Amino acid sequence: MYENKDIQVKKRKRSWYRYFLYFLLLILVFFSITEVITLIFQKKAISLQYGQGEQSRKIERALYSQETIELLRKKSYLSGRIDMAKSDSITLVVSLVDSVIRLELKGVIIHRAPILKYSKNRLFESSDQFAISNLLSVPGKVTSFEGTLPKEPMMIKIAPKDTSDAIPDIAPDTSKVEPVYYRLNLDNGIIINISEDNPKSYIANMPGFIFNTNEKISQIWDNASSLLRGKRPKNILYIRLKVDARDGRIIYRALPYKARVTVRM
Amino acid sequence: MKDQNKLDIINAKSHFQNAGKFAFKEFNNYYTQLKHNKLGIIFLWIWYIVRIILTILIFSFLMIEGVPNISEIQVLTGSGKISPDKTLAKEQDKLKESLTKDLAQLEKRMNTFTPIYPYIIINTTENKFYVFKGSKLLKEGKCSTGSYINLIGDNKKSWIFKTPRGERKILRKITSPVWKKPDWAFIEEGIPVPSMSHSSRFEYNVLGDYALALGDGYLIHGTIYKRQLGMPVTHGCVRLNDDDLEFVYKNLTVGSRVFIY
Repeated sequence: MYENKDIQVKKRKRSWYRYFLYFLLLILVFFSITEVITLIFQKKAISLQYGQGEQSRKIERALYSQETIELLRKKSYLSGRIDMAKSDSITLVVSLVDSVIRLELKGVIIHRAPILKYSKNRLFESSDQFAISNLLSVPGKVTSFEGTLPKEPMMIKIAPKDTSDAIPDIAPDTSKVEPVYYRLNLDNGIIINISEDNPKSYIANMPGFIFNTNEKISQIWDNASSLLRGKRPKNILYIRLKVDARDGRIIYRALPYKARVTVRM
Repeated sequence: MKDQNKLDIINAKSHFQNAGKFAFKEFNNYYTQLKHNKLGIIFLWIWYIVRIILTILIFSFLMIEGVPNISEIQVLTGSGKISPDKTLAKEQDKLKESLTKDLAQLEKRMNTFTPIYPYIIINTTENKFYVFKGSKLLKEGKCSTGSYINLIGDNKKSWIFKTPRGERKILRKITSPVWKKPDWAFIEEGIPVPSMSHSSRFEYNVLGDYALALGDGYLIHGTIYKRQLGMPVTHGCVRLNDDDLEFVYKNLTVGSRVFIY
């Protein structure tokens, strides 16, 4: 009698495992499917928005070979930089072709940093190349910054009441360094994710790991929820850059809140 | 002889069949063992999940990479509107030529942005400066820029000590500058603010031998706090050491461009 009860308890426990695994499997399958659907949607949307115009546009496009598309991209890149040079603010130029990221002010290169590693959405390659050229032909505008370091390291100091209350300024501690992980969300749907590439311990890289994981989870969640609500998921094109922490910090601090960005690929 | 060969083949076949059966039986045994083991069940489940994810990944890869972009094919072959003949090739050449021409013009225009006269670039994050002439670096060194301190006074008036980013020009060149202390210099030390012409407002020999005015009260000047060069400690001005200041003073003229980032 007791043995039977034991077996029943064991069976119940086993079924719990099973239900949990079923649930896990369901979630994984659901999110994987939504991700695939999102990619298909995005590919179509990019093609429609930037590639296919009227019929005449199609005929015009017949003239573009891979070589001319390359020239067109270079032209867009230079036009973009010239356009940005007209503004008074600091702009960002990302050239994946030369593996260089630059800060420019009125067309003058004020900072140049090598891109140590980079990756980009497969959509950039697999989508209609003409559409991608059109997308990159106009400089993007930063809509928001998100990062692990403060944009301006502001410190508040309350004025002393008299000389006895006054404390002399202490030189700031320059040894303290924040992890450099941030992203620039552009108005054309491109997200530029810049992170440091300095080898550090796992614990030191923890904020970056949390930052990147949060980003991925929120993106998957957004895609799934918009599909569930019957809406088209947002077009998100990722460019992930790894630069030296020093350069990453300089770029983050230098860029204004509504900075303009030109990408060359 | 032929019969022997046939027999050999039959033997070999049966041998392989037996081996196959054995392997299948072994696998079945192993599978059943796995099913009766807690860890085995977990392993099997993980294996199922991996298989499903792999299938989805392969499917997505095929959808994104394998299936060609139909619209692109239609367009590149012209959908029957432009036949891929000599006319198209000619048109393509024309387009290529015009694009190359445009590119040359744009590159020329881009090059005109770099000043031909000496200019200074100040990096406020790293507290470094660079003097260029065209694209040639003439001098680089340490400097001190704004401390990012937000000083809050008694009457809720506040000052932010940061060096403004952007482009400025040298408006004036001054020798033996005298510092006229603004209100915050007194408030910061807890001293009552004197009148604008009071003698305590004027401090001599603290800004070095030269100063270059950038407008809005911002200066490039020398310092007596040389140890703090390379640190963000100023109230918004740019401090240089004596030698660098002299070089900057001698090489930059009124109207020279100053890029701060």
